[in-house]
Amino acid sequence: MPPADSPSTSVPAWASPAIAPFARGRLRRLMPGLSFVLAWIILALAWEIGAATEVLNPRILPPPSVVIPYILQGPGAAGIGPQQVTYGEAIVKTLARVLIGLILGLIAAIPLGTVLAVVNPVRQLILPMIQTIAPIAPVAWVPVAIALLGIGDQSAIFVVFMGVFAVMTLATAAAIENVPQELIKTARSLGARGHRLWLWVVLPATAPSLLTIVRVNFFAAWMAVLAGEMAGINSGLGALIILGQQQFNMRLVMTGIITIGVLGFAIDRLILLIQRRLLWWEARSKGRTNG
Amino acid sequence: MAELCFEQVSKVYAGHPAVVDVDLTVPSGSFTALIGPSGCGKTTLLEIAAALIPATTGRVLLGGRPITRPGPETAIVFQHHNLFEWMTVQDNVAFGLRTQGISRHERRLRAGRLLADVGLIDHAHKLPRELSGGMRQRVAIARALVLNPQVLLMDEPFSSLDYQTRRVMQRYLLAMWHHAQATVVMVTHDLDEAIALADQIVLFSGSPGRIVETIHIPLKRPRQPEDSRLQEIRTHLRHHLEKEVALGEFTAAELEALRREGMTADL
Ligand SMILES: Nc1ncnc2c1ncn2[C@@H]1O[C@H](COP(=O)(O)OP(=O)(O)OP(=O)(O)O)[C@@H](O)[C@H]1O
Ligand SMILES: [Mg+2]
Repeated sequence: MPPADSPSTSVPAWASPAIAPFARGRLRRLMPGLSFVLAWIILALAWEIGAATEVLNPRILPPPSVVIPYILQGPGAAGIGPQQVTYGEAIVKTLARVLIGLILGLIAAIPLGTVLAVVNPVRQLILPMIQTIAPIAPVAWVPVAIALLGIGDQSAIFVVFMGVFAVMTLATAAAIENVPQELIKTARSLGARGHRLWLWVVLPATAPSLLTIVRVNFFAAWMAVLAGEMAGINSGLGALIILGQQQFNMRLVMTGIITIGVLGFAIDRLILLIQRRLLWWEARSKGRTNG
Repeated sequence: MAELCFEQVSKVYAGHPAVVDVDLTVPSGSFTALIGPSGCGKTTLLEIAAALIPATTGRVLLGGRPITRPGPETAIVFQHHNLFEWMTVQDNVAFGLRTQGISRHERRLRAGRLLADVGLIDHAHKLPRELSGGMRQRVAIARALVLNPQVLLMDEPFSSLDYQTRRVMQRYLLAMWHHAQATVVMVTHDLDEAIALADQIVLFSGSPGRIVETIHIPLKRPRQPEDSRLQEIRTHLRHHLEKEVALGEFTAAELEALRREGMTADL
C-alpha cells in the first residue's frame, strides 16, 4: 500500500511553514482532488488545441467545447421507434443492470463460497464446475442470454451475473479459508460458537477481502453490461455509443465514453468510501502508523 | 484451581501417530513446562486439553471431570497473539465475557479492572496493531484470564519476542500467575524459560511424541539463573534436546559417521 505521504499528495515545502496546522491538514486532504482536476484540465486544453489546429480531426474527436455543452443540454432522443434511447434513460438502465446483477451475484456467491470453504464433499463436487465457469469472459454469455431471455434487462442482468458470480464464489471461499485456524481456535476457547463465531470473528476477519471482491467485481460487472449492450442488448449506455456510431454522431459517441468513465470512477470512489467506513479499524491504524 | 490429568492420551492424524500414551498429572496451581523436538505433538496436547480437537484415545480430566468441550475453565494462548484486529484492546479482553452473555456495562467494568491490574489501562482504546509485540501478547494473556480460568495453556507464548522482552514477559507472567492462581501448562523451546518458571519440566521425544522424563524443580521463584542446581538441570535438558534433534535431523548412517568423527560423543 502506498505510504500516506506519497510525493504527489504531500504539501510542498514552500507551503508548510507559513500555513497553520489546521489549514495545512485541509490543504493536504484537498491536494489529490486538485491535482486530479488539474490533470483533466490540461488534457482538455490539449485536446481543444489539437482540434482547433486540426492536428486531431474534430469530426472524429469533437473537442470538449462541443461535447460538454452537448452533454449539458441533454442529448436528444436518438434512434427511431422501439430502438429509441434517451441519455438519462440509458444511464439509469445501465446502472440498474449493473447493480441488480452485482447484488444477485453476491447473494448467490457468498453462501455458496461459504459452503465450498466449509463442507468438503460439496467442495469436491462443485469446485471444478465453478472453476470452469470463472474464466469465461462475460461477453461470451451475450448470445446465450439473448437466445434465452431476449434483448431486455433480464439478458443484461444475466450477463452481469454470469460475469461475477463464479469469480466471487471462488474469492469468498478463499477469503474464508484464509482465516487463520488459530484465530478460530482462540475464539472457540473463549466460548464463541455457532452463528456468533461466524458473526463476531469470521465475518470481520473476511470483511476486508469481501469488500475488495465487491469493488473489483463492480468493474467486471460494469464491463460486462457495456459489452452486452454493445453486442445486441439494444438499450443502455453501450447501445448509445453504438447508435452514435451508426448515425455518424461522434458527439454522441464521445458523450457515451465520457459518461462511462465519469460514472465508473464515481462509483468506484463511492465503494472505496463505504469500504473505509466499514473497515474503520484498518483506516484508523493506517493514519497512525506506517503500515 | 484444579488438577489437570492426561490419561493415556494419543493422537493420530490420518494414520500417522503424532503423540502416544501421554500420562501426565499437573498438580493444582502448579506450573508445568513441556519441552521436546519440533513436531513431537506439544501443540496437539494443548489443543486436546482445551477441547479444541478430540484425542484419538485417552482423555483429559480437570478436577476429576473429563473435558469434552471448550469452556470458561480452560484458556489457551498461542505463539501468535491472535487478537481480533477489529476490536479495541478493551473489547478484545472482554470477548470471553461477551460470549458468556454478560451485559455490556459489566463487560466494560470487568475488562477495565483487569486491564488496570495488568498495567494496560492506558491502551484500552487502542487497536492491536497500534501496540508493540510484547504488549499484544500481554493483551492476549489478559484476554485469556478474563473468565478466571482454572487452567492456562500457553503454546510458546513468548517465542516471537526478542530476548529482552521475553525476560520481562516471564517476570510479568509470574506476577499474573500469582494473581490468577491458575494451573499453567506452557510449551517452550527456551530452556532458560522453563528452568526459571516451572515446577516440573516434561521432556518429550520425537516422532511419535512420547514423554521420556519428568524433572521436578522444587525451588522458589524468582530463581537465580546462576544457581548450581539449575545449571545441572540445564545441561541435562540441553543434552536431551540435542540428541532428539540429531535423531530427527540425521539418518542412522549419518549419526554413525558423526560418532566416528567424535562429533556426537556426548549424545
Ligand atoms: N491438522 C493436522 N493434520 C495432520 N497432521 C498434523 C496436524 N496438526 C499437526 N500434525 C502433525 O502432528 C505432529 C505434531 O504436531 P504439533 O504441532 O503438535 O507439534 P509440536 O510439538 O507443537 O511442534 P512445534 O515444536 O514445531 O510447534 C506433527 O508431525 C504435525 O505435522
Ligand atoms: Mg507447536
